[in-house]
Amino acid sequence: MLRRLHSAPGLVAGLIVAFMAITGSVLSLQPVMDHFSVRSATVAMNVAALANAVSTHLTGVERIVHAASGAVTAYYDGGKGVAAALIDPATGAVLGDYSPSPIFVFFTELHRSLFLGMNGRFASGMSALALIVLAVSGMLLLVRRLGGWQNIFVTAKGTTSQRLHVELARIAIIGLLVSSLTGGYMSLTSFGVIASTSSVGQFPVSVDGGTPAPISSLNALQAVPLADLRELVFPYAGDRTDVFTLTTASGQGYVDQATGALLNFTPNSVGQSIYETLYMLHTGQGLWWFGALLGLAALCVPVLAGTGTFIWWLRRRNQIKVANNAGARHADTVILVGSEGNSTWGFAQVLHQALVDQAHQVHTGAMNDLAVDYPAARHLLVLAATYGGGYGRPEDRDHGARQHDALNQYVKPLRP
Amino acid sequence: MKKLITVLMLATALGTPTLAFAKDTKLSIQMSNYWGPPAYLAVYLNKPDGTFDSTVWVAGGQSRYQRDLRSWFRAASSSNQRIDGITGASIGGGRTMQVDVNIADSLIDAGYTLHVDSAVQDGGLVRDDAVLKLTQANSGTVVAGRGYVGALSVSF
Repeated sequence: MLRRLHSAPGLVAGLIVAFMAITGSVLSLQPVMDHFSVRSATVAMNVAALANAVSTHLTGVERIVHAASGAVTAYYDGGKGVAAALIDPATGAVLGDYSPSPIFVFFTELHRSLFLGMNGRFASGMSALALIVLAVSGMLLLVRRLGGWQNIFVTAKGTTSQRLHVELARIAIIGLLVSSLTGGYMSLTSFGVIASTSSVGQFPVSVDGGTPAPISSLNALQAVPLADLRELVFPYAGDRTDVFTLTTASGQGYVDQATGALLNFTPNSVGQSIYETLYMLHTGQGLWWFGALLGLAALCVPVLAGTGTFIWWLRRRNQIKVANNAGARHADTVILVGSEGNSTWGFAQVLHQALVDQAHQVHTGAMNDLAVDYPAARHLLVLAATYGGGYGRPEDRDHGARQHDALNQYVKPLRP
Repeated sequence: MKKLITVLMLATALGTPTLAFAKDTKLSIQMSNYWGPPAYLAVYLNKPDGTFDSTVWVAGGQSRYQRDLRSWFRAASSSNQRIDGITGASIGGGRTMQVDVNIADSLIDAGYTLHVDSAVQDGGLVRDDAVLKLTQANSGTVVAGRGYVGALSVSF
């Protein structure tokens, strides 16, 4: 059952999960590159001073964005539509033109929607779910294979593909669980299953409407250090009833451009704080080294998908067919086989043929396919073997009690 | 009696159009070929005096991004009009959106204007990206946008 829970989603969703993992690991490079390229502020500037400096350098500033990497970007009227400039966080001076990396824009869209709109987002969410199922079932399979949690770090035995699968999974599992759980949460949010994560303060109904004061003099902006700023949206030029929209690490509000008063500030809800933390863990934006680790873990996924499929295919190909298998209701001899790697089936096959040669009606079946009744059976043979670290086959042990009781029902009538 | 029914039917037939919404009002927006994630759009009507009247369509379903469509969001959030049935998916660069919308016949040739605001993540927030006077003569007329909207047209 557990094995099927692992192999079915692996086979069905292996390709898409591997695809998401590859695109995700490409994206994990972004915060790493930002970390090593962004100039961080040496002097603590407040938002009023920064906004003032930016608006003296650029005309028609629309908004200033402070990214998790520390980069400050200003969007302004570039004549032909919106232009963006990279800002020195220490002085507010323009460092140069800014345009988002086309590669990362492309991969971001590929990763979250495959350029297929909401259908793509659904596929992306489902692949997160598939990865959760694969990671959890895989972990449980691994624990069984190694003979319990206490052996979780013991070297795995098996064929090359099996060992590769197990060793990589063991390294990557925590990263993959973090990526898939946070990704799943983000997907549920974008589909509105988890309620709106953002507290949107109502636009202030009444503003002063007087002559706009110099930006550097606005109290509410002076009170915010750059470190706390997320985004500052400027009022539309010439619209005295408009306001500054201020988003900080702790919430969102508006600033009157005439009086500098903070209006309708709404602190972040618990839901939004959770979302932001999960977003940081998933993207590595603001936690670049963690993102890099997730990216490395994600690189294991294509190999896991490949080796996993190969192991599944080998198991299927090596499945042993038993010739002259009698029906369960007619067999005088029943052989039940518990096998993990198919080897016990080889013994069962030989035994079966030998009994058939002795003119017995023999039925051989998997232990898990135990029938309710074997009315003609006089002999019941159970073949099992050790597995992994030298323990019995996990399924047989897990269901041991149940099967023991069940087998007793058949064994008793066979006694004279 | 028969006469009365005929009169009633005639009255109904003549009377209805003043109350009815325009039949088959089609809104069509062709996005420009910009490079970036899908855009959020707000399509809304302004009264002859330039103040907000009503929302016609919103492309993009999440409220935390809808608020980037600021001049629309500001007016709409104080108007308390619900946008449940008139919200669709955000639209990517180069894509075309066509939806059936409700615009009352009485607003046509009455000085109303149709506005489109647009916003793109890590990009611009464009107020009045495209504007169209709501006149019968403008039915089917294609106007160009100045930001993320390439072309806008409405057919009554």
